[in-house]
Formats: sequence, structure tokens, C-alpha cells
Amino acid sequence: MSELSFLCNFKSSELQSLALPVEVRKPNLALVAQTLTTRSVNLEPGLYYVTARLPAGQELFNQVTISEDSPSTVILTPEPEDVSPNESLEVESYITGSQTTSWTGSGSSLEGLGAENVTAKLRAFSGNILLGQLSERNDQSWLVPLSAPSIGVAKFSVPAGNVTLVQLLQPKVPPINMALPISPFPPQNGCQLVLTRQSDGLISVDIHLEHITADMLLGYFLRGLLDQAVTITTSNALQAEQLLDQKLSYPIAAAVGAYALLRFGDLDRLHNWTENLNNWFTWLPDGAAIGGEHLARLGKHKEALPVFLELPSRGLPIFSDGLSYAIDRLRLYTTADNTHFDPSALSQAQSLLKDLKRFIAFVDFRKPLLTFSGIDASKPDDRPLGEDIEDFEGLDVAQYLA
Amino acid sequence: MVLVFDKRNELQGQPGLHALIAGVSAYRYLPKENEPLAPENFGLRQLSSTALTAYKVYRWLLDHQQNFPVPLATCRLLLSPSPDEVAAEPNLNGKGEPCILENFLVAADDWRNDAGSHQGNMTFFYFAGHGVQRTKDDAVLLLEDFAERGGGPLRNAVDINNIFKGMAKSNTHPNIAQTQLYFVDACRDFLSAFKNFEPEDTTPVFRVQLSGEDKRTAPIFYAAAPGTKAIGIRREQTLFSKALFDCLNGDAGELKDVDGQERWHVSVHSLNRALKTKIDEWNNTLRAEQDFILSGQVADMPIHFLDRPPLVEVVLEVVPPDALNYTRVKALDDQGVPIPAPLPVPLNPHPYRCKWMAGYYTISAEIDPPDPRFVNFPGRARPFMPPCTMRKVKVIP
Repeated sequence: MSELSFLCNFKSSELQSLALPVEVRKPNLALVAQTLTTRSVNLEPGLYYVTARLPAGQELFNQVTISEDSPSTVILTPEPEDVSPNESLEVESYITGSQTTSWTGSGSSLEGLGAENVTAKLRAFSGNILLGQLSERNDQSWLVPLSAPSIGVAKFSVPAGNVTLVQLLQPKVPPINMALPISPFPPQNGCQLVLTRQSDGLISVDIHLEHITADMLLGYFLRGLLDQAVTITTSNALQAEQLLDQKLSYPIAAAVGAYALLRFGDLDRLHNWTENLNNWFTWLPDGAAIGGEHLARLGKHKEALPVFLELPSRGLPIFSDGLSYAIDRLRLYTTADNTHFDPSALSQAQSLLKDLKRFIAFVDFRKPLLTFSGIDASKPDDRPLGEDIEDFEGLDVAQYLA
Repeated sequence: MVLVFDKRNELQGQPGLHALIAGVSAYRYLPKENEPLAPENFGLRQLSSTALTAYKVYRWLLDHQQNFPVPLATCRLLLSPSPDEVAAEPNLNGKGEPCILENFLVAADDWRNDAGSHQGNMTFFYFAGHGVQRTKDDAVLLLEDFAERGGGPLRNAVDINNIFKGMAKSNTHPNIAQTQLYFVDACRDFLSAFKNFEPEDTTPVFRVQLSGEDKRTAPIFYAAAPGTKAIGIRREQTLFSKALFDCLNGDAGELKDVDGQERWHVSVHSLNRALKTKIDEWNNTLRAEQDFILSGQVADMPIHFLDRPPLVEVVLEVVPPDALNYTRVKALDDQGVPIPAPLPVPLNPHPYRCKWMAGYYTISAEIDPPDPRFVNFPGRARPFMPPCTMRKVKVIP
């Protein structure tokens, strides 16, 4: 057996230090190892093909011949056609998958006749929606414009702070509300908003976590790359000990990791993770949803219900999985064999379930971050706005997309 | 008879696969294709592909009964076919029992009891018919007698979430199957007519017990993403089932060590990956817009073994197209041997599509006759994995 190590041929140091999921296969395609590029594997002598699939869809690839008792390093490089044009765009190109170009008509044989008319507004809300305390932010200090990679794409940094929801207003379509994956306590745990003009003229929003490995995990889920998602949950950067360190904590990344482990049914690895997440970050609604679901999976339903009942004091979960888990469990606890529960807890559960169910019909469960429609976020609906949105407050995003 | 396949005696207590398959096309209380809709129909009509789909799933299980991690032990079949489906597939006539609530409840209870005989059992649940949706992890499945007068509107409907939770380990079923596959081939629309009804209006299939650690592998493959529709091809089968058969027959093939032996198989994760590709392909073919989503508890594990390495759809494209007539593309297998059927020169049609055995291939291209605008494409060995691998042969400097 000989040791094989991996080196990724990126230009930016940020990516070179990242742990990427990697597959090692024999010439007959048999998978012999799934690991991270920051680790090594021991292999029998022979020819192997090594592939690292990136969250944005590209692949790094190379082949290597392993000799007896001779360690090797394989350098993984992107296909020539996938190479990022420059170092500063590598994260966008390979990791977040956010578009560095949008539909602008350029390169097409078609042209738009008349002025391009992009109208959209972005506004932010603070407060706990479940307690009816949502209030619109009247300032625009909650976001910081970043340099855009191309026309039709706008990027903003949203630092940690007191914003819970962002709302995108566009003419003739329902307003979209998105939970922001940020902490109320700076400095870390902010996020990035990427607005992209689509071919139909509408603007789409992508939200990326500040924690790049957690963002990659979400990316693998979105693309259906579950093997890569499983592998990346083992990375040091996504271990509870790292993420929940009291001094430099990343509770939102920890929530992403915990949701993944719940999806994979890997309850053993969740051990104290969910309890600490819930107890140490009492502002995080997802801590309650994750903690409750974990206890329920362990069969500790009596303990699970009070944890779910912490949601009203925290607010709507940031991630759609959290809302789904909470609703499914509360529905079960309020209808099934409920002699387990204290009557007052059951009454609270019924009230919370009623509150949460208002959102269900308007949530886009395909999105990992909680996304739902409605001009009044506390009373979601799917009514489109009129043609004129000038009267609404908010940041006019057209200037950033031009 | 609901139990259309039974090998429990032969298996003598050994783990087996227990299947419950239901397909509803002929909804008793819904109008036919060309009949007018009434308010009490909730905008729904009878279908003409879903019972036939369920029958095809049953036939597929029979044909592959030895290819699962455990042999097929039982299969329960509930079918409510339309006359058109029976005309297209006469074997549907009298097969299984009608998929009405009463039959469904009894079949599901028996299915759970069989599943509960051994933790090493597997279960397979497939429903094709109308559905509506409330949360990411649930779907309401409408049975043949849906919309019958009396009682709540969802009385003759069941909730997949209740089925899923009722199949967890419990005091009454401590040894229930720990590998459970669910396929919900139905729409997941939020029908505005249902917005005001409580989910409790569905009839519970199981009385769910709140006990037991739940460490099942239990993926739920939903044919439609939340809030969207599933598509059926009239008098044939659903789009989802077409993609699913493609995947299970090889397009989701993966070669990995299973119990010390390299075996081509389909796993939970490989099925999820390949289904995305195949549904997109069928969408293109049928000009449909169906989505698909995986939910439930999705640990990876083999679910179906393949008898041989799968074929891969290969798409080769010369870039730029102007170079096509000058470009001679060659392909060698992992032993350096040219592929049996040489590629045409030029590649025609372009992009060129063919099928190769899954494996590593080295693709190269030579510019012939030489042209200063183009350069040779150096050979690169690359994996060609099912269901489809696209490679660009770039011959510009």
C-alpha cells in the first residue's frame, strides 16, 4: 500500500486550502476511495483516476500511477475550458456557482428594441415574524454593494446584524421574502446576496453563506450530489467542535451541517451538536427545529416538544428544512397518541402549528433557505404586484444591474 | 386479490423485499377527460396512465426479483385502471384490487406487518395517481373513491407523512425493515380548494406511535417538486416512471465494493443523481417541465444490482463547429484499444451521440488535412459514467 495525497491547481490561496470531496477510481470505474483533498488515502499499486467535483458543476481531474511503498501526490486541474478567467473569480466560478454573466442579449442574434427596463426593489425587515414584531428597515446600511462580475449581475455583502428577512419586489410578480442566514451579533456570520437578471427580464436572488464549506454543502445538495455532500460533512471545517467554539462560532454553518446529518440519518454524529447549538445560540430558530427533530429521531418525543416550542420566541427557521421538520412533528404530536404530553404543551403546540401553517402554501421548498411570497411577510400570499412599484420603499436595484 | 406475489414460505423467515404498489386512474367521482368539471371536483379529472404505470412497476419488480439486496418476498397491488389502460394492457383486467380507501388501509396494514418481521427486510412503496401537497416531506395521495359524498373532502385520501412515520420502529413493530424506499408519482400542487382544510382530514393509514429511535434509510422520491405537477403520457405511463426504469435498468449504475465484491448497482445516491438527468431528458423529449425531489432519510445504500456494466450515452461535440469537416475524432478504451465501432468522419450527426460501455476512454482528435485555424486535440482519458457523458473536442488554439 502507498499513500496518495492531493493538490488542487487553483490560483487563489482561498481555494487551494479548501477541502474538496474527491473520488478515486480504478480503470474499470470501481470506486476505491471517497475522501477530501486535504487528506490522503492508502492504495494498492496500480493506475487510478481521481476526480474532484466542484459545487458549481465543474470537475478537477487527473490520473496517477501508484508504485509500491512510494507516496504520490496527484495534482488536480480543471478542464481547460472550465478554467476561471482570473483568480478573483475563482470562488464565483467554482464554488458558489453564482453567475458571472447574465442574459444581456449580447452574443445573441436578437436585440431588444427600446430601453432596457429593469425595475426591482429590495427591502429588509427586522424582528420576530412569529411574534408579529416584524419591522421594515428604513436605512440601507444593512447591505454593502460589492463589485459586480458583469452587467446584469449585482452583488452585495450583508454583514451580521439585525435583519431577518429580505424582500424582492418586481412588477407583476408576487414579492419574494427570503430568510437571511446571518447572525444578529457581528462580526462573523454574514452572507452575500447575488442578484441576476434572467432572460425573461426578472431578477433572481442567490444567497450565499459566509462560511464557504457550509455554502459548498448547500451547493452539493442543490445539485443532487449527495456523495460529495456526505464527504464534505466530514471536513474539519464542518465539525461541531470548530463551528460552535464560543470565541469564533459559526452557528449558521453548524445548522447547515446538522440539517445534512439529519437528512443522512447520521444520528451518531449529531450527539451533543444539536443540544449545544440550541442552548448556546438562543437567537437561532433553527437550533430549536434541529434540536427537536434530533430528539424525535432518538425517540425522545417528550423532550422534543418543548424544544420545538422555543420557536415562537426565536422566529421562523432560516432554512426550509427547519420549517418542514417543525410542522411535521407538531402535526404528529397534536394528532397522534398524545398521552405523552402535558396538556398545556399540547395547547401551545396547536397554536404554534397554526402559526407556522400560514406559511406552508407559499413556501418554495426547493430552496434551502426559507423563501415565501407575499407583500406582507407576516401574512403570506401569492398575489402579484401591480405594474408600478415606485411607491414602495426600498433599494432600487436597477442601478446595480446596469 | 391484493397479494399478487408471495414467497414468504420459501424464504422461511429470511429477510425479503415487501412491496406495496398502488395506481389510480379511474377516479369514481371525478369527470372523464372530456366531461365538464364541477366545483366539487377540485379541478381534477380521471387519469389514463397511472394505473398502467403501477402495473408496469409491479412487472418490473417481478422481472428483477433476484436483483435486490434481499429477494422479493411479497407484492401487494392496488389498481384502479381506466378502460383505455385495460384496452392497452389486457393483463390489468382483474389484477390486484381497486385502490379504494378500505382496500388501501388493509393492504398497508398487512404490508407493515410483513415489513416488521425482520430488520433486514426492505420495503418498496409506489403510488401513482392524483396528489396534493402541504409540506416538503409530505404529499396527500388521492384514492379511487376520493371526492365521495359525505365526510370530509380528504376522507378517501392518505398522507405519505403518516405512512412514513407509521413505518418507523415502534413498540408494536420493533423489527421493522430498516431500508424503505418510497416513490410518490403524483402531483404536489397546493390546490387552492384545499387551503382551508386541516391535514387531519385525510384518513390515517397507521396509528403512529411515538416511540423508537428512527435510524432507517428511507428516501422518498417525489416525482414532483413541492407545488408542482407530475406528468403522465396518456395510455402509456408517467414521465417519472420512465426515468425511474431507465435509472434502475442501468442509467444510475455505480461500481463499488459491496460486501467485499465489486458490483455494479444502483444506490440511493446514484439514483438521485441519475434521476435528475433522466427527467431532464424526458422533459426535453416530451416538452414537459417536471421536476423531482428527494426527501426523507437518505443514507446511501445499494437498492438494485445490475447484471452487467451499464451503457453510457456519449455525446461528442467538436468546438468550433467550423472545424467539424477537418476533425478526425478517435476513442480508445482504458486498455488503449480503439472502440469497436469507429467514429464517423466527420462526426455526423453533430453533436454525435452513441452508446459505450461505462468506463474510461481517451478521446483525441487530429486535424486532417491540416488547417492553420485549428489544432489537434491531445488525448485525455476521462470517465464515461452513466447516464450520459458529454465531451467537447476543442480544436482551436
